[in-house]
Amino acid sequence: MMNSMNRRGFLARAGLSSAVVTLSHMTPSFLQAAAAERRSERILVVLEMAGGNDGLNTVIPWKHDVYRSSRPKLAIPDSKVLPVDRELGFHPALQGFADLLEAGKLAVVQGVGYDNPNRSHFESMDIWHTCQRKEESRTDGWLGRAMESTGGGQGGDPAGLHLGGDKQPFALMSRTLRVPSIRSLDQFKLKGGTDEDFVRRVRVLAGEVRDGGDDLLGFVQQSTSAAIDASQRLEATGKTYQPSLPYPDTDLGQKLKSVAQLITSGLSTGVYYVQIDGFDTHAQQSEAHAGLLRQTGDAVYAFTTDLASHGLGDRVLTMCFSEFGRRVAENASEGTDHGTAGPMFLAGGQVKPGFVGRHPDLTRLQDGDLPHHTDFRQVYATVLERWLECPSESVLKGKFQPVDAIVQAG
Amino acid sequence: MSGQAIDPELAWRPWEPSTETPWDRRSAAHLFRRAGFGATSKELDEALEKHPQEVVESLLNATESDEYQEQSDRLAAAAVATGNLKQLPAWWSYRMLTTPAQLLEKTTLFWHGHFATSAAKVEDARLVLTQNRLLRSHAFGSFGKLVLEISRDPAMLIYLDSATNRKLHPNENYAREIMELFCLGEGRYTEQDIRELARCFTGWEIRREKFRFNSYQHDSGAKSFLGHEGRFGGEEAVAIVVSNEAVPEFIAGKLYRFFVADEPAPSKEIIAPLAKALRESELRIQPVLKTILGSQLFFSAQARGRKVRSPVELGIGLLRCLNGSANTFELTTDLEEVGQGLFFPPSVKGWDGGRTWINSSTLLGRSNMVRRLLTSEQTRFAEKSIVEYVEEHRIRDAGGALDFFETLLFAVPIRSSVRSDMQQLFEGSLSNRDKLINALHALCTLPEFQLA
Amino acid sequence: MDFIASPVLGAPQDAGALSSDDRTGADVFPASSVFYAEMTRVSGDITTVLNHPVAERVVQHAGWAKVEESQPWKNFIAGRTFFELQMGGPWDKVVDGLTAGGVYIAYDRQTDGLVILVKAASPEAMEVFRSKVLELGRLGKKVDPEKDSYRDLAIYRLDNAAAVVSGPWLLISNKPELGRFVVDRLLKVETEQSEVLASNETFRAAATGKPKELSAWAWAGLASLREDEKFLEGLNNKSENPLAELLVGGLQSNVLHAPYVTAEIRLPETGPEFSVAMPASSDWIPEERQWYFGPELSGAAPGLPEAPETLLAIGTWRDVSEMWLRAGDLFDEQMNDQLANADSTLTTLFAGKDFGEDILGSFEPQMGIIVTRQSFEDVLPAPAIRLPAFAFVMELRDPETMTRELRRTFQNMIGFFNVVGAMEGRPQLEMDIDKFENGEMLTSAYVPEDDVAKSTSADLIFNFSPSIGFSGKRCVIASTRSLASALTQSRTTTPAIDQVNSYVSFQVPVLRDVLNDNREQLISQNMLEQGNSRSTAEDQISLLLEVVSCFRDVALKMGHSDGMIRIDGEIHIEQDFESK
Repeated sequence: MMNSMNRRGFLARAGLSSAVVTLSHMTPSFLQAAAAERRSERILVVLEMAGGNDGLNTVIPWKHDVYRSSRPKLAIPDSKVLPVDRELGFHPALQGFADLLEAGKLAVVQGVGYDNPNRSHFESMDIWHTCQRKEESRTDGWLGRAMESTGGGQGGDPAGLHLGGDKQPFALMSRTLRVPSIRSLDQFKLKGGTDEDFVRRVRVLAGEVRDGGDDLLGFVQQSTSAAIDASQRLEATGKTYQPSLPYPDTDLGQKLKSVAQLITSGLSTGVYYVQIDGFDTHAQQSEAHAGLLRQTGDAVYAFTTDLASHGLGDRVLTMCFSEFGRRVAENASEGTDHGTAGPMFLAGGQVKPGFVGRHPDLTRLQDGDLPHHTDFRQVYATVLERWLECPSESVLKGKFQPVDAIVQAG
Repeated sequence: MSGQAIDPELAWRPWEPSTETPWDRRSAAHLFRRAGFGATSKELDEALEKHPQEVVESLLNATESDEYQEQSDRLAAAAVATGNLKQLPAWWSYRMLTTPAQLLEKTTLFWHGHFATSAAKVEDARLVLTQNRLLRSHAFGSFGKLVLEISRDPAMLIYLDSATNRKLHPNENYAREIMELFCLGEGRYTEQDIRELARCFTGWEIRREKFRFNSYQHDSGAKSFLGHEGRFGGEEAVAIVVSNEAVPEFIAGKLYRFFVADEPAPSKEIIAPLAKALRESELRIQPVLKTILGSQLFFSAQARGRKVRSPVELGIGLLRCLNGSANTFELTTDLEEVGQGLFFPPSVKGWDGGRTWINSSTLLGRSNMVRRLLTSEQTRFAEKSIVEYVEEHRIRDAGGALDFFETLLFAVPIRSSVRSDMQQLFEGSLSNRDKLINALHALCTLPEFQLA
Repeated sequence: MDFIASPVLGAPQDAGALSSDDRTGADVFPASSVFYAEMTRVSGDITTVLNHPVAERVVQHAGWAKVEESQPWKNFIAGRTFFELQMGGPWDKVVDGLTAGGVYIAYDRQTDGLVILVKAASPEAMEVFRSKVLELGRLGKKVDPEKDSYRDLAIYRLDNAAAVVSGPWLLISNKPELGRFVVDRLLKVETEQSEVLASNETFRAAATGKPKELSAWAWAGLASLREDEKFLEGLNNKSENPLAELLVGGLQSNVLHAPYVTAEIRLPETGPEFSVAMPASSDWIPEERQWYFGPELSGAAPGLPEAPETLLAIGTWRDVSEMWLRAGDLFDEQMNDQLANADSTLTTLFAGKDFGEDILGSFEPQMGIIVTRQSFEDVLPAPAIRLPAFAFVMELRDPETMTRELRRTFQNMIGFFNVVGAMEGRPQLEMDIDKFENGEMLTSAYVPEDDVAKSTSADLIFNFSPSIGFSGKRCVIASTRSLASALTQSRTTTPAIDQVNSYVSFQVPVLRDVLNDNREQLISQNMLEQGNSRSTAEDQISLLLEVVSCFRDVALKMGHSDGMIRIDGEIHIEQDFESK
C-alpha cells in the first residue's frame, strides 16, 4: 500500500519533470508553472555536524553503569541530563531538541554507522557524502544523484542550495546539475543601487517576451523572468517576513533563518545544505561540546518552530548527521577520540517522533566502540523514498531498508 | 533552424562575405568573441581593413612578446609564492584580459574544461600552474602529445586519485576517464578495456610532486584492450587510445560545441569533415581551428548567438571589449559564484556549458557581477573612467551609445520592442557616471546579452 | 532649524566690543556639551605640513602624477580653485586669516547637536568669507532675509546645518536651539539658560594645567556621557573579541568611572605627537579585570632583550592566564563557546596540558613581543615572500620545573606538526638542541627537498623555524631559530620604564626594508588587485616605499601616574634626507 503510493508519487513527479522538458519548447511561462507546482512540494534541509559528534554525550544512556564508568570526567551528572525516559536523555545543552521531541517534531535514529568504519574525517565524510568507498570511482554525491532523478534546476530555481562560503559539500556534486553556494541572501537580489525605479525597468526590459520560444534566446528570456521574479519575491518576503521567534545569533542560526526566508519566498529549491564545524573534541571537551550542541539544538528548534508557524512545518524536513561518533571511553585530556556509530536526527512536522532503534549496546562494544545497527544509507533511503518520493536504489548504489521515522503520505 | 539543413560539404568551406552576410563590425565581433574573449572598437576597425581569412590567420598566429611572457611568469611566480590557491585564478584572468594571443588563451581554457582538474583537490598551486602551462604549450599542437603529457601530469593524477598505482591494485580511475572523457566518449570501450588499460599504467606514480615510473610496481604482463594485444607500458597504452578511430570525431564534436554552437547537437555528417581533417593532420589542433573559424558555417546564422556565454566569456568579455582592467580577485570570485571558478571545475567532466550555466541564482549573479564590475573603483576602461571612455569614442547621444555597445557586446540584436526603452536609459547618461552605469547594467541584464 | 522661533529675551550688546574679545569656544558653548575640541594654530599647522620636506618629496615622486589624475583629487582642486577665486588670494593665506582666532567644536547632549565655531583674525576677514562664499557661493542657498535671520544675523542654510556670521565668528550648527544658544552667548544676550561649558566643574578640572602651544586639545565629559544608556550599555557589555579585550579591557572599566578624558595633539617639526589622559583609580577596576593593570594599577612592562633589525617591540603587563580563566565573566556566550572550542583544540595541541592554567599560567604577566626583519643573507632556502620573524619573550614563574615541562611540550608539538604535516605533504621539521653558557635552546627547521635546498624562491613555510629558548627565568618562543637565539642570549635589555603598563616601538626604516624585500610580491599584488600594468604598479609601489622612508619611528606608551592613566604617542619623521 505504502509502496504503491510511493511509486505513484514518483511517477507523477517523473511525469512532471518530463513534461517540463517538452513544455519548455512551447509554453513561455513553463518555468512559473513548474515553480508554482514545486512550491507545494517537500523540502529537505541537511545539517552537517562536522568533526565527529560525540553521540554518547548527545543522546545519553544516563542510567547505564558502563556510561558512567567509561566517562569519569565527561559523564553528564544525572541531575543535569534532560531525561526523555528512564534510560535515555539529552545533553543539558540540547533543550532545543528536548522541546522539539516534546512537541512531536523530532525523531532520533540511534546507532547509525556503516561496516568497516573509517576513522579519518575526510574519508568518513566522503563515505557519508557519496555512499561509496575510496576504492570506488567517486564523482558525485548522494544528494546530487537524488536531484538528478527528481529533475529540475535548469533555467529555473536551482534544485539545491548550499548556504555558506566553504567548499561545496561532495554530497551535492552531480555530473549534470550545478548547485550554487551562497554566502548571503544578497546574492539572490538584483542589485540596482538604491534606485527602485531602475530595478523595475530592468525587470520589464529583461522580461519582455522574445520570439521563437524554443531557441536559446527564448530559454534565457524565460529564465531571466523567473530569476527576477524570484529576486522580487525574496525582496518582498525580506520586508514582510517575520520569524515567529528569534533565531539564535549564531552562524548556524542565521543560516537557517536565511533558509526559512528562501522557503517562505516560494523558491522551488528542494534541497538545502548547511554545516556547523568543530565537533572534533579531543581535549577539554565538555564546554566545547556543550556550546556546539546548544548552537545546533537552538537553531534547529527555532527553524522548525518558525516554519511550522508559517504553515510550512509539514513541507520541510531537517536531517542532522555527523561523519562518526566518538569512542566510548574518554581520553586523558578530558576529551574523546574518533569513534564509530552515532545518532542522527530528523526534525519537522511529518516525523514519527521518538527514538528509532535502540541505543547501541554498551555491554557489547566492538574494540571499545559502539556497534552500529542501522546503516546511514537506511536513513537516506527513508528520506529519499518516504520524504522526497524518489527511488533510492540508484542514488544509494544499493538497496537499503528504510527506517520508520516519517509519517507516510495518504 | 536544425542541423540537418546544413550541407556538410559546404559548411566547412572558407567563408566569403556577401551582401546578406557582410564582413562588418558584427561579423568581426562574432569572430573575436568566439576565437577569444572579445575585440575592442579599435580592433574591430582594424579587422575590417583585412580579409576575414586573414584575421583568422592572425588570431591563430598571434604571439606574446618575450617581455609579456616574462612579466606573466613573474606574476605567476608571485601568485604561487603565496601558497594561496585563490591567487592563480586572479593571475589567469589577468592573462585573459591582457594577452595579445587571445585564441591560444581561449583554447587553453577549452582544454582546462576538457582535462578538468580542480585545485580544491590538488591543493598545490605550483602543480596547478604547471598543468596550466602544459595545456597552453600544447593547446594548438598534437592532441596525442597532449594526452601523453597530461597522463603524466602530477596535478591530473592527484586529482584522479592515481598518484600511486600498484601492480596488485591497478587504479582504474585514470583508465576510465582517459577513454570516457578525454579521448573516446562513452560506449566506445568496455569495462574489460578499462581493467586492462589500468594495468598498463601500473608503476606510474607521483613522488615529491613529480612523475616517476616505478618499475617494481609495473605489471609487465600481456594486456589486451581496444583490439590491441601486447606487453604494453603506459606510453604505448596512451598511443593506442589516441590512435583509436573514435578520437577525431570525439574531439571535433567537443571543438564544435565550444567554438560553434551549444545546440542543436551537430549531425555525424557535419562533424565528419572536421574529424577527417584532424585525422589527416595527425590530430594537430591548429589546422582544424583554422577550418572552423574561417568556415561558412561559423559565420552563418547556425552559429551566431548559438551559445550561452560562459561566466568567463561574460565577465572577461565585457572588460576586454571595453578595453577594461579590474580587480582580478573580485572578478574571479564573481566568476566562481556564477559557476565558473577558474582552476576549480565542478567535476572531472568539466563545465557542461550551454543551458546548464543558467538558473535563477546564476542569472542574478551574472547581472550583479556586471554591476560590481562597472561600479568598482578598480575597474578602468583604457585606464580611464567609463564616462571618459564614452567621450573618447565620440559617442554623441543615447541612440549612438546603444548602437555602439550593441555592436560591440551583443551576438544577437536587441529585440526591437525594448530598444526605445533601452535608449531612454542612455538619455542624459553620457556625462553622468551613475546613469551610464545604470544603462550599461540594464543593457547587460537583457537576455540577448547572455548569448555569444 | 528655524532661529527666529525662539523668543527674544534681551537685546544684543554693542557689537564693536566683540572684535577685541579673547573668548574661546568653551566660553560660549552650553554646559551640557559632552565633547569639546579646540584648534588654535590651524594656519601654522597647515604651513608646517605643507612645507615639510616629506610633503615635498612625495609630490616630486613619479607615482604622485597618478594621484593627481584621480577623480577625488581633481574634485579637490576644483573646489580649492573656486575658493581662491572667491576669496581673492591663495588658499593657505586665506585659511590663515579665517582661522587665526581658532576653531572650536562641541557636541551637545541635550540637543544632540554639533556646533563648529571659527574665529577669524578680524571681522573684516570673516566678512569677505560671508559675502563671497556664503552669500554667492554654492555653500549657502539663496537667503531669504525676511525669514532666515536671527538677532538680525542672516542664516545660511547648508546641507544638514546652518551657518551664521557675527563679527569675526563663523558659527555652524545642525540644531537650531544649539545655534541660537551660541549666538546669544557671542552677542552676550541674557537668556534663561546661559550656563556655559567653561563654568562646568569637570571641564574646569581638566582644562587647568592644559599646556600652551598645542595644536589641538579635546575633552569628553564621561560622567555626562554615561547618562546615555546606550553608551553605558556598550561599556558594560561583555566583549565578543578577545583581542579588543586584551588591548582595552582595563581602560573600558576605568571609563565607567572616570569623570572625563582629555586628548592633545602637538605638531613639532620632528613629527606629530598625541596624548590621551583620564583620571584613574584601582577601586574602579573590578576583580575580573585585575589582570589588565595589575594590583593598584602598578603592573609595569618589562625591559626587553635586543635583537638586530627590530621592526616592532611591544612590552606589556598582562596576566593573560587570568584573563583566559575568567573568560566566563569577560566574554559573551558566543565567544565563550568559541573559546571553549579553542581550549579543546589547544589542549590537544599541548598534549593534554590545560592551556589556560598550565601553559599560560606558567608565565609571569610581564611579557614582550618582538618582530624583526629576516634578511636571509646567508640562509638557504630563502622563501619568495620574506615575512618578518616574531617572538614572545616571557619570564617563567618557576624556571626549574617549567623549563623541563615546556621543553617536553615543545617536542610534543613539533612531533604533532610533523604527523599532520606528513599527511598534508608539508616538509618535516628537524629538531636540534643548542646549549650555551647560561641557557639552552630547542630549535626546529624544515628540511627542504633536494631541489629546493638552494632555492631563493622557496615556499612560505621556509620563513619559519619554530624554536624555544631558556635562559634563567627568560623564556623565548620564536618563529625562527635565529631570533630565538638572539633573544635568549642577548645580554642587553631595553631599560624598563617606570609606571608604564605597555609600550610599542615601531621602526619604520626596518618596515621599508621588509617591504623592499618583497617588492616583487607587492607589485604583483598591485597588478592583480588594481588591474594595473606592470609599470603603473611599479610606480605605485615605489611611491609607497618613498612615503614609508619619510618616517623614522612610531612610539606608543600607556601608563599610570599621579592618579591619571596616560597614553602617549609620537611619530618621528626622518629629519635628514640627504644622507639617505
